Amino acid sequence: MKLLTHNVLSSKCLKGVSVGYPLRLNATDIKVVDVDYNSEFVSRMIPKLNYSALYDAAQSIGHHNGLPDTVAEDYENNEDFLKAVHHVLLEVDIVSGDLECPESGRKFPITRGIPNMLVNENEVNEINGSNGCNN
Amino acid sequence: MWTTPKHFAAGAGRTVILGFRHHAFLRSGPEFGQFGSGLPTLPPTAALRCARCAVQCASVPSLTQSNRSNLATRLCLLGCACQGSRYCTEISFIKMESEQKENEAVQEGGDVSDEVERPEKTDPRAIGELINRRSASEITIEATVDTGFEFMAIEECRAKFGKDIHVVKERGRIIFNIDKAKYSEVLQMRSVDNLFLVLSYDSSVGFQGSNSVDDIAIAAKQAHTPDWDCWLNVWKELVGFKGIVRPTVEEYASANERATKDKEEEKIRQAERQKKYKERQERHAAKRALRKAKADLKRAQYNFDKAEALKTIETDNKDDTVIVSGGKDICTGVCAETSLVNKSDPVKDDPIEEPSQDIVADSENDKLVNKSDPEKDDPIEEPSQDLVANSENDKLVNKCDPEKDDPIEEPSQDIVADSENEKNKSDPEKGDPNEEPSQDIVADSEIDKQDDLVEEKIECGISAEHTDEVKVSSVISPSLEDAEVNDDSEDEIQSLPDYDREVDLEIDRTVPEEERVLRFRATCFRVGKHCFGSMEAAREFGGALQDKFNWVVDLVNFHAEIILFVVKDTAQVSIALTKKSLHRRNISFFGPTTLRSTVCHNLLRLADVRTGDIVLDPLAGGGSVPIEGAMSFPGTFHIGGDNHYKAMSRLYSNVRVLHEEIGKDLPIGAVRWDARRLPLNEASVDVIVSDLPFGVRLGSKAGNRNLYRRVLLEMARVTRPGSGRAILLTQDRRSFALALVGTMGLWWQSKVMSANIGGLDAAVFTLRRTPKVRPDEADLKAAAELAKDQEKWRDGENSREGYGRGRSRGHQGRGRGQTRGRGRGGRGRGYPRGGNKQSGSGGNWRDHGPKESLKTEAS
Repeated sequence: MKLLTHNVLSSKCLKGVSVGYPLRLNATDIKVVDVDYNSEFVSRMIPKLNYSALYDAAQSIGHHNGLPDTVAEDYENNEDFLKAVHHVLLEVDIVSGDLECPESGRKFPITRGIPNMLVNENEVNEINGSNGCNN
Repeated sequence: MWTTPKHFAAGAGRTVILGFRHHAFLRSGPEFGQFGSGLPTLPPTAALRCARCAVQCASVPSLTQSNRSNLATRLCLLGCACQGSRYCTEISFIKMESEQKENEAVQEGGDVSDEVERPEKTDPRAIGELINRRSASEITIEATVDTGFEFMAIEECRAKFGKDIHVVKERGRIIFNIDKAKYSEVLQMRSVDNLFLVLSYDSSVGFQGSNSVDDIAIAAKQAHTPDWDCWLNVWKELVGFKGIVRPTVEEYASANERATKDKEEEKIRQAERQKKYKERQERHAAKRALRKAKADLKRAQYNFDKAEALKTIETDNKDDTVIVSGGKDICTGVCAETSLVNKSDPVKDDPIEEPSQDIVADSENDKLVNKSDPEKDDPIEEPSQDLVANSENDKLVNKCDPEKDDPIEEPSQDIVADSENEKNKSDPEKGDPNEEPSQDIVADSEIDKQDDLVEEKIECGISAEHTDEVKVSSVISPSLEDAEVNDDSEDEIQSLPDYDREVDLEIDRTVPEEERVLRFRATCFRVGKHCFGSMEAAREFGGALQDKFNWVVDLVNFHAEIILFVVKDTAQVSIALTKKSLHRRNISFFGPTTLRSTVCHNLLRLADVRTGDIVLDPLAGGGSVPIEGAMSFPGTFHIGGDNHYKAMSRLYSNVRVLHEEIGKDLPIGAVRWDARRLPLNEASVDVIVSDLPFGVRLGSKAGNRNLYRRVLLEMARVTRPGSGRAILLTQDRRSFALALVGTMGLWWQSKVMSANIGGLDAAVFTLRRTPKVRPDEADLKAAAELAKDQEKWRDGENSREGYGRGRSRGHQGRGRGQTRGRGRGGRGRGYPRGGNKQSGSGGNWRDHGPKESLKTEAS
């Protein structure tokens, strides 16, 4: 699971959870892979990300070297920054471990790099007429 | 921009004020006076536009042929986003100006294609002109595309080869001139399937239509039209054929001998392949039959026990709940089959849904254990309701009391009853049997089927005794989950079955490349009315070629395929450039409904994916869409997910194989989730591209209504308002249209396109996310009313179409009154089950058509 995926995952659908983000990362097996670098992609992603969550996640697994804790000014031209963000976003792959909901403690296991976010019926808000998880 | 529809008398009111839902009453007069019932018949090319938001709500051609003339139906299926889920009250009939011009040129009543984008009417001379335009260094290439996506292919051409490239569009193919040197780039096109080199084109062949022999001869004469000297050399160069294209008679003779030997070998290999295939089929059938037998036995047991329980348990027992999984499907399926005993449940035939009625009839641990083993393979296909019922009685009592109140509640009562009974009776056997059922129930609730029909969760009155059972089971269920995940990890990459691993053997292997004589195959495609068939034409055509060149004929292992394409009075000769279709890429592990890579590419192209976008596929299956996206659209990130463990396994394997092939990782993220409860943040995704379950091979049409609505709502939640867009492919247009209306103003449908997917008339819906972040009060209320209506419609339809929900539902649904108002998934909306007199027959309005409903209105 890449940290970019982690950045958009939340456990809001669980009962009693109001925010459910960011999920705590407990990684037991991490792999660093090689992904094509595309500076335009990274610079467009940065405003869409939750940077602090990304930094915290990277820190919790110890891969935050070279990554400043806030977005650099004028990041679009800062190649080093972009490369560092690219590395953390796409090249750090968590193979196994789990994700933990910060509010309820519910753990979502990660196996073979794929987190399992299926929830039981009894853990979830009942579906009502409006958006299920929206309220 | 919009012009007055031709059909309607020039009158003041172009705007028609229409009512809601299933009855349309009109306010403006003169235009519609000519139509008997007061409902106009819209011309097929009209579009409906909301006068408020001036947006094209939907185009009429997107609705099916049968209801094209039924305005009320059409309007009921539409909804304009500006009104939220309410139907647009101000809809005007419009015709696009370009359409109008076209229609003036063409006869009215000619068949109009379903595409919203109007292409230039295909001119038979267009290809000829294209060929004439060709410069010396250029070649004319014909590329086949899935019907409906030709425009995407043209776009790709323009993107790859420059905006000025002139592309002729025909049905299912595009033709263009390209410099010979650029051929390698053509091979890298992602939206086309096969490439052909166009050799000649004759726009008026001169078929007489009287004598088939003559006409065939005329067709065969086409073999002489191309400039073979030139083209054979070009073809050799492009394809890399190093053999002899102009063999002498002796060379031909020896080559032919070799060919005959090869053909015999091929026959043997073919026979072996057939045998293997048959064996595989038999094995599967045996497995299925065994499971079915088990299921039948268990169901019989369940019926009996249920009947018993009915006599002892009060049916008023409904407290708050532990939600038991399984959808309506199961209960209705069970109910259906209990009330219609010997009738085979149509739902059951689908192997995936079938075991959902499995009930463990044996309370002995052994049987349970044994059962869970084979089921481990396929937890989803598993019984979503395992009940350990009493196995002491072997009598099969197959009666379900049809007077029973709510059929859905009923079986759940029985589940309770049964588990109660079972608990009381098999205390000594404690441990497993008691935990197993609820464990399985809960476990299966997590492994919810994607095509699940859980619209209403079944609430059972379970007494307090069971709450700890359930607690225990919820602890157990994650381990069941883990167990099955662990099972997966053992077979890391799924292995391809033998017959899929076809090694591409070289043709004519025994001699070096330069000595091989060309082996060819002649094919003929024919469109239009002719007095001969394509097979005969192909034979003669091939014969003419053979006489001319002394090539070896081999219909299976050939170097060159020469095609004669006869369309009405035109004929085109082309030679195939690709032996293997270009769509064979990306995927190594196929599922039941894997989408072709070229179609995936076309969908992504339609979505206008830009650098920096996050593209989501909530129902990814084997991941064909995310994978194609990551491969063709650099600078984007793709997230794909599915709830079925087999799909996830396939996704993982496909991605992994690709990683190994290209040496680096792709920007793909995979998560296992339930698409109806996406674990994503609001507004985190830019584009959604997905292939929704059609309800044919996977899922069901009945389930689709619910699934589509919930999935659409979730997708709306996670997509960025305003800029977000979704491209959804589905065949079940009706469910989609209905679901879309229920999305409370969050999506508006900007385009519908028809596409041919595996022979099915599918549609691609382009949706845009409105700026509304959440539905507001008005939307919610409207949605509630809509859902109420849909209930009524569904019940009404049920009796007619039997949409697989169990035939008993239709009869028992109505006239129930308000007894189980609260029982509907705790939504707090009581559905008056048929209590609404006005819609008493209105519920069936679809059966009888609009006239009836009008009459009811009038009266």
